[in-house]
Amino acid sequence: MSKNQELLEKFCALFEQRDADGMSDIWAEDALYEIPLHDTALHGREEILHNMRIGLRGLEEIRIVLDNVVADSGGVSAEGTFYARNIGVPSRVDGRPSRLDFRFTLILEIEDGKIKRYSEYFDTRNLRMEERTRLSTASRRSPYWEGTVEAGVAHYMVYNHMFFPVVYKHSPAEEYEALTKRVTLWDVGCERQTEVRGPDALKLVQYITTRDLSKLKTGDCRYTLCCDPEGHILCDPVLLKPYDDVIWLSHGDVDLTLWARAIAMEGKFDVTVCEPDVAPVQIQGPNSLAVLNKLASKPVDGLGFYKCMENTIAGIEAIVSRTGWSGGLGYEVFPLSSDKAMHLWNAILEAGSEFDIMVIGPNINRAIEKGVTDTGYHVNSNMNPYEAGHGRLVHLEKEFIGRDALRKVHEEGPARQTVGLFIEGNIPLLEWFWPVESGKSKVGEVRWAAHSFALNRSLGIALVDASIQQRAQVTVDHPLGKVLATVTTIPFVTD
Amino acid sequence: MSVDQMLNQFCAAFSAKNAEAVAALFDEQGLLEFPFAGQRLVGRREIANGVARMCENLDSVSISVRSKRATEQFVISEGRMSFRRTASKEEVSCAISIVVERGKSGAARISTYYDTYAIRPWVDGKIFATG
Repeated sequence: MSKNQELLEKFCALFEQRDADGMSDIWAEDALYEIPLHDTALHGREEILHNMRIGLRGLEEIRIVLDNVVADSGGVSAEGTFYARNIGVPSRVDGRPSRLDFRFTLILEIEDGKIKRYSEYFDTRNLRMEERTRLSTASRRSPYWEGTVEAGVAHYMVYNHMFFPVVYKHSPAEEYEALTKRVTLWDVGCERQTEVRGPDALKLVQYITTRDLSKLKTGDCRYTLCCDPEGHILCDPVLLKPYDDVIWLSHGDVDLTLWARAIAMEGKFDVTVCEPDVAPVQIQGPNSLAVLNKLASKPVDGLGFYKCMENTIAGIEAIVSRTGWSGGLGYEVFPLSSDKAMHLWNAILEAGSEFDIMVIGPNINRAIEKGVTDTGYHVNSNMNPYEAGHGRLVHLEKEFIGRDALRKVHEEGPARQTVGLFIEGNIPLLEWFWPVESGKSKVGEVRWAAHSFALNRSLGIALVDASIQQRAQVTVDHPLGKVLATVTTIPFVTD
Repeated sequence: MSVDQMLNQFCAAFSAKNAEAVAALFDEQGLLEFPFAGQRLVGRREIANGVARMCENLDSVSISVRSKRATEQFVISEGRMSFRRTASKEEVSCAISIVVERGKSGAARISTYYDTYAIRPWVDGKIFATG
């Protein structure tokens, strides 16, 4: 076997062992690495190794089979098959694991025993993961639609009657890396605002939310809850007070504006209620502040956690808030009209290019680590705030919808509780709520689940009977079988 | 004919949209893998029909090779594929790698591989929407 072929075999062996660091001496200092899964070619050993580490974090059970290999003094070319299992991409509910298997050719140019150029070509048949979500005219498009298509959106969910891009072309490991180490841009135009405007804006919002807002000032934000008269959670909006007589409830997937408007129409409140043309984006990640400051007319540095401010971003009037769904540093930008939404989107991408900004959907892998859930966790369960672990957000001394019912729950104690679960093994996609059993009895259900890259294990958040103790062993009945799980606290990760 | 020559003739025949000439390069039961167009064609007859179908919606197509390594039995090459769709008039270009494997009287197999990231074959992007 020639030395160049030996180098190829060594590279394949290290890749199978997921040993990026072991590859440092096989790349030339100024090597070029081109593979179809990257937006652009990678230049230089350091950049290649950095991306190799990220890529390998998302793969396991790697096997590379070379069928045809031909080497000469300048390098080596090969044809073969790559097999791997994706980490963090849930199995299908029928048990098929999420895999990255494909035929390929690779061309290596080699100088002085080191790889100078690595180019790979794929048989793309197996890489087309799934068909794109079917669209219908009954749901709205976000004003950033064009940008998300360009960014390679693959899956949408319908959220507040609007298509919500949730899956892009990247692997979850790549997206997690971008979110926790760099910066990401999310189209959350579907995150609608219920705007309450007028002299009684605060009075109405006090009435439909559980948290006392008497100290709320212009520029403040609050995480709060809306309940029905039975004390069941309707949604968990982020409240913003961008102007003196205006409050926005930035809500999850529920018709909150209809609810608020109906209550306002009872005539007890001097307000107008509407859904304004305000479609936010989220800029999340450690470099989010640097990106935003490049575009903002007023520096954003001093904006505290859960505060908002008027600003001009890329020449567009907007409200900027230090909020978001990542559990880390991040901002939301609410342009005051959709007319120039794509201008805003493109300006953020350009400003973020020096930080290698990535367009992603909400990253559930990171959210679950931080114990962050969504309206989908709470609704259709008759869950009250105490059961959700949000008792601190209920202020019984003020009047609000659901107070009498919640006072009773507070006095008697909740029947159920929200807990974290360390679930054994790989888990499939959560397409329905999985029963949680203790002995032979059903004691609750997993309502939120994903892989954790920080802990390298499967996590769940469950609503279970109040009698279940911390560190208890329970069984989770998911589509791939019954597996053990250990009850724990949330958040799972605090940094 | 050497595998090198087969490769050159494949590129020339495909670029001329000459499906019969493409098919003539193969063994009677040869295999053409062209996943870009979703094609896995077996046998001269199927190859001729499949390539004709691929080409009928194209104003033009061009496949060129820039480098290759070969043994007597096979050649692995890299180059570029460009085409213009009749319906959209859109120019598409991507890196391509072609493997030709010798058979008894012609090519036993010609397989094509791509670096198509820019045109996103794994999402229903522009290129698929325009049919």
